[in-house]
Amino acid sequence: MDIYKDALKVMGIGVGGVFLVLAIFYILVKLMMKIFPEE
Amino acid sequence: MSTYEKLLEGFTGFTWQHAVMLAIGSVLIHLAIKKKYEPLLLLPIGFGAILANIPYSAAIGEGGFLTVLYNAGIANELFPILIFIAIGAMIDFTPLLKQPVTLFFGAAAQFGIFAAMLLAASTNLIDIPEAIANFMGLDPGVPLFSLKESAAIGIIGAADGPTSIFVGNKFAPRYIGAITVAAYSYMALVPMIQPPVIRALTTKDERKIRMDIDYGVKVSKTVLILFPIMITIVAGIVAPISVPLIGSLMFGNLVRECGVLERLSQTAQNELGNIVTLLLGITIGSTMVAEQFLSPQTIVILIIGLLAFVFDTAFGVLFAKFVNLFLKRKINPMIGGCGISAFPMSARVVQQMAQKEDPTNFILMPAIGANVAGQIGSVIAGSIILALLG
Repeated sequence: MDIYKDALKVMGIGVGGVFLVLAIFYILVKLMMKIFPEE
Repeated sequence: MSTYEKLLEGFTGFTWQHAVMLAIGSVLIHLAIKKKYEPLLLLPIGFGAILANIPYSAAIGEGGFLTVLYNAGIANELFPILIFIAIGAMIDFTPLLKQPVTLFFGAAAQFGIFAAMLLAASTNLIDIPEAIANFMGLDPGVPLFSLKESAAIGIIGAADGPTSIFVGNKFAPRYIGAITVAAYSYMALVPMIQPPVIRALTTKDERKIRMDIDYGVKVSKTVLILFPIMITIVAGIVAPISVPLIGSLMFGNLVRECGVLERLSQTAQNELGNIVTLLLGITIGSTMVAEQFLSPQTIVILIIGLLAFVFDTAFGVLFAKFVNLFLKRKINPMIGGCGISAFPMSARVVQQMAQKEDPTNFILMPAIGANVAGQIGSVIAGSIILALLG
């Protein structure tokens, strides 16, 4: 049961973490595209 | 041992387990040659399995060349890193940069990793009767998989060979053969696994949704060069353990995009990629020794690995449908399924499905955007698992 609970915890943090990191990448890409537009 | 016995030891040492493993190796070679399922990997893996399962094979064990290769490239995780440099040099991130929202599909489709991990961990909740446990060679009361092993099994859902090997080798070295074979086999089977899942979760009208090829966006050279550097720095700061994986992937990409290292870029894409793939496959195959591979756990790993791909695809598509609730210009929800990092197979599959509904519909570019986002997402997911459990 403990393993299952720990796995649930890793799942919650993991899914949230992946979204968070890729959201940061999203903001960065948007910023870069604004600052360095194709001339 | 007499000379006579020594001569016959190959015959006398031959067991049914060896025969099964030789058959499995031959099947992998058959799939690679006849069906063209990931031949670059499955053929060397199949032959490696044969080499490792000939009784008293000198290819493995102390001084065996496959063991030397294992210690030189898998145990220290050098081969997956080198492969990532090659993959990075092959990837064009332009479709993703034109439509950065696809990054979120790359995140959503990693759900399968965690769902599969949960599934592997939940096998410990099943109370296996002692008689069956004894028959299957399991120790009663001992968990089928530890949490780390469950995570390594879940990472099959990354649909990304090097990440699976990297995490698998750290957390479940005794299952590395099964994990790698599952990862590469299911990647090869993406054209069979994804379409039924996507069809079940989308309507005909949704599959017909058209998308702009590039949304009229142009990407400057500066952005293409800054992207791998920024991603490495940010991912490295968030999860330092991700630096080898994301760093090597992005180094390869920087070499490609910088415009002054064409020769190195070509070398990374071709010579480096080919040599490491050759050695990686045969070395992984050599880990499939009968005593470890022929176990109930292998069957469970293969089943959960398949489910991981199904969960990835389903969650990616459902997430795209959810995003559509808030968008004026709807996106084709099928591209959500491309968030798995089976690149570029998944994008091709979705494009074919779109054209089946409407032969004039082209969604390949956004699909590739989601697909390369999946490549980044899978590395981040693997790194987060390493950071949480390492």
